[in-house]
Formats: sequence, structure tokens, C-alpha cells
Amino acid sequence: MDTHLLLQGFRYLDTFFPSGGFAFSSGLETAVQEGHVRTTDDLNRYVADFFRRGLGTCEAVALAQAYQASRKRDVDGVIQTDDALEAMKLCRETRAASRQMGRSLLHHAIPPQDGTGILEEFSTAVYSGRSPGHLAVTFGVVFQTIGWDQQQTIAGFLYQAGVGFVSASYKLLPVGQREGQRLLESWVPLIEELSRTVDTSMPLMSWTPIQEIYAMRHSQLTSRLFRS
Amino acid sequence: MRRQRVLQAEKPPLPFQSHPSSDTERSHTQKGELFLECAKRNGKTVFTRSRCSYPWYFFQPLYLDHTGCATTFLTNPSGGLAGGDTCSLMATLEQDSHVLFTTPSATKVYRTLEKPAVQSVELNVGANAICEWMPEPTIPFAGSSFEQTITVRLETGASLILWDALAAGRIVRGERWQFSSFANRIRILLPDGRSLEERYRLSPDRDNPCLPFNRAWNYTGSFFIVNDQVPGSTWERIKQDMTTVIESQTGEVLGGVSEPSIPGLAVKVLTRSAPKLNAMLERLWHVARMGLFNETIPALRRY
Repeated sequence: MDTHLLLQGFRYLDTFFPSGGFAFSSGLETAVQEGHVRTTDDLNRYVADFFRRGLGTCEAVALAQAYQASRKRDVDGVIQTDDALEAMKLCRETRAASRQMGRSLLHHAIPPQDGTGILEEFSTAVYSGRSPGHLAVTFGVVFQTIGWDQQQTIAGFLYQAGVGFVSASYKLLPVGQREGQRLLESWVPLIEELSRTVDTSMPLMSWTPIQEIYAMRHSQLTSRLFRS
Repeated sequence: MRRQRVLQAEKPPLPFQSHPSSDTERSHTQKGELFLECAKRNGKTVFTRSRCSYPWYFFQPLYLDHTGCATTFLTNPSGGLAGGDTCSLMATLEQDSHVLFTTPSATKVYRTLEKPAVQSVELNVGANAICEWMPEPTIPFAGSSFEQTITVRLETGASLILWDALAAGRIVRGERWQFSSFANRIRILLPDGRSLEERYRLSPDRDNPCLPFNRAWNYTGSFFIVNDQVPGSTWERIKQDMTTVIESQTGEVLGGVSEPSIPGLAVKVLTRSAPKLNAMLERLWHVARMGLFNETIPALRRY
């Protein structure tokens, strides 16, 4: 990959990038407070299951569909995928988090000198309210535009999600940086497999009832560090 | 009743076949179709047209309270669904009508070596009509394969209360997550194009365990209530009441309530036992009915 493209992608994946991802825990905060995730092993199961049956079969597929539509400059196809993802997100906080991070990425990714590409078309649709602007879909469009391939983009998206969980766990659990790195390393084969095997012809599917319930219960916590 | 017969005579024959299909499927597979049209007449909802073919059977409407809501039990006299069976239901609820669909017992899905059992449900709910879909849970036996789709189209002001529950298997036999595959798709569509969707496919052989931390949870249920004309303050009140109901069962039930992408509420629950699941459903249903219609739930007297 061209070094310039590589670095541009790194910028969007970096924790310094102001996507607001640090504010969300995807239900992990509830699971910890209610005592269901206490150890690194629990955290590993929570996140790996979320990868396998949530992010890998829903967000990653949405990303890939948006990526393919973006390649054809089919903004209607991108919006269709965005709407499908919106319909699948049953929890208000999770939906809001995804939309906020998607819009942040979109805001910072638009090159001011070019107003005619698919990214601008999608941006117009999002800011005019025609499309929700979910993170996975925005990722697909932005990274296709900057020249990353689909598999790398999905892997980057999932890796960023994994980093988010580890980052949240530093605040919520007795997890040290070394354990955090071990967790990330253990998820790499799964991330690689999911990014390689995504099938864009498949519908979006998700089976993460436990994570979804914890995300739904988050708004009832009496003290909260995170917004989801 | 007389009015119903008159209405039936006025309309053309229904499109569905009334006998099992004679296609190339194995002779013991079942292809059932159920078709219902419902309308409000003189304060009560009646079935203006209906037709069903084996293994579907439905009871004529029961009126269990003063609201005129037509309650019907959908039954499968064959005892359950086997591989290759296809059952479809299409119901149309005309404006202002009110129908409660339920089942007298769980939907059992038997082991199959080949095709899955398929069930599709399509509910078209007219303006200001009320549709309640409250079946007993689905129990997929070890080795079974099942595909279900439920599609609901709501007109403006229509209300939907929908429950869908899955057992991990025949729990009292110690059978958990041993079915071959289970695919489920629930879609709720509003007239303005917005929608809500729950969709998943489970293959426990490959994905075991289906739930992490799952030693305790044997049943999962999804409960949706939707109406595009109900104000946000009402949803907020119902949400608080449902949260209280769920919190009162901490330890026995894990559940959450949230606002989906369309006006309404989505509830997810996990329970250890069928009685707990049924008790939770009754309480959630009660809260939904009280919050939306100021009505209590009818006594279905299944057990």
C-alpha cells in the first residue's frame, strides 16, 4: 500500500482521532457494574462474542456493502445500507454512538478541495437527514475513497473497536496495559478471519442479546463513566 | 355471524390453495397456508374472510373482554413442524380492528436431515387498528432446522404488540443449543418507510456456545411495541414501568428496554425457566396494554 494512503488511514484509526469513541463502552460498563464481567477472561468472551455475532455479521457486512456501493459511486446503495443498519440497532444509546462517531469521521474526512465525489454525496445525504451516517457505513465510504482495500478497511474497523474495548476496560476493570495488549493480540486472528470472510451478498444479522441488554440497561446506571 | 357469511359471499375466492401442494416434496411434508381478513363491525372485530390449510388451524374469534378484540388461537394439530414443512400466514386487519393472535402451546420443531421447516407470517395492520402477536415460545429440538420470518406493515396510527421467544431446546431433557440451525427475521415497517429489524441465524454446532456466560439462560424473548402516533412522553412512562418490572426479577431475568429506530419500545429478555419467561411476558404485556390502551390483558387460560 502507498505510504501516504497508509498514514491517512492510520490517522482515522488512531485513538487521537476525535471520533468520540472513548466515550462509549457498548454495554461493557453495565456488564462490569452488574458483576458479569469481572476478569480478563470474561472481557475476552464478551468482546470475542460481540465480534463473532455482532460486529462481524452486521457492522462488517454493512461496511463491505457501503464500500462496494462507494466504489460504484452508488450513493443510494450506501444510504440503503445505512438505513438497514439503523433498523437493526434496537438500543438508542448504541445507535446514537454509532451515528455520532460516523458523523465525526465524515466531518474530518471530507477534503475541502473536492466537492464532487461519493464522500461528498454521502455527506450531503447525512447532513440533510436522508441517511443516518453510521460509523461502519462511513468507514466503508471514507476508506474506499482514500484507497484502502475492503479487507484492510474491515480489519481496521474491527481493530479500532477492539482498542475501544481495551481502553474502556482500563477504566472499568483491573486490567493492565500488558493484559490489554495480550487481549488485542488474541483478537487479531479473529479480526483477520472476519475481515477476510465477509460476504456482501449476506443480509445484516446480529445475535448478541447479552451485550444488547447491557447496552439497553446502561441508561439506568446510577453512576456512569461512559455514554453507552 | 350472519354478517360474516354475507361478506364472504360478496368477495371473490381467496388465492390460497386449501389442500396440500402436490409438488415434488416428500409426501409427509406439510404446506399450510392461513389467510385472514379482519374488520370492525358494530364494535367488535370479526373475521370477514378466512381460509386455512393443514397444518394450520385457527379458532373462531373469542371475545375475552369488553373491547371487541378478537382473540384467536392458532394451532397445529400435527404437533409440530418437521423438515420441509412450510407454513405461511397472511392476515389483514382493517382500520380500527383489533386482533390478538396467540397459540395454545409452544411451536415444536423436530429434527430434520434435509430441508428446514419454514414459517412466514405477514401482518398488514390498517390505520388505528391494533395487532397483538403473542405466541408461545419456539422449541427447536436437537438436530432441527427452522427459518421464520415475521413481517408487519403498519398504517398510520396502527398499534403493534409483538412477542417472539426462543427456547434453547428441550430444557427438562438437558437439551440446550443442539438444534442444527435457527434463522429468524422480524421486520416492522411504517408507512413513511422507516423500519425496525431483528435478524439472526444460529448454528450451534459451529457457534457453540450461542450465549457467553450462558450457563443460566435457557430462554430468550423479544418484545416490541410500536405506534407512530403515540407521544414520546407515553413511551417514556411505559419504558419506566417495564424497567421496574424487569428490575423486580433481577437474578431470574436479565432484560433491557430501549427505543428502537421507529416510535416504540424494544425489550430483550433472557430467563432461566419457561415459567419465568411467561410471567415476565404477562407483566410486560400488561404494562404495554395499560400504557397504550388503558386496558388490562385478557385471561387466556392456557394452562
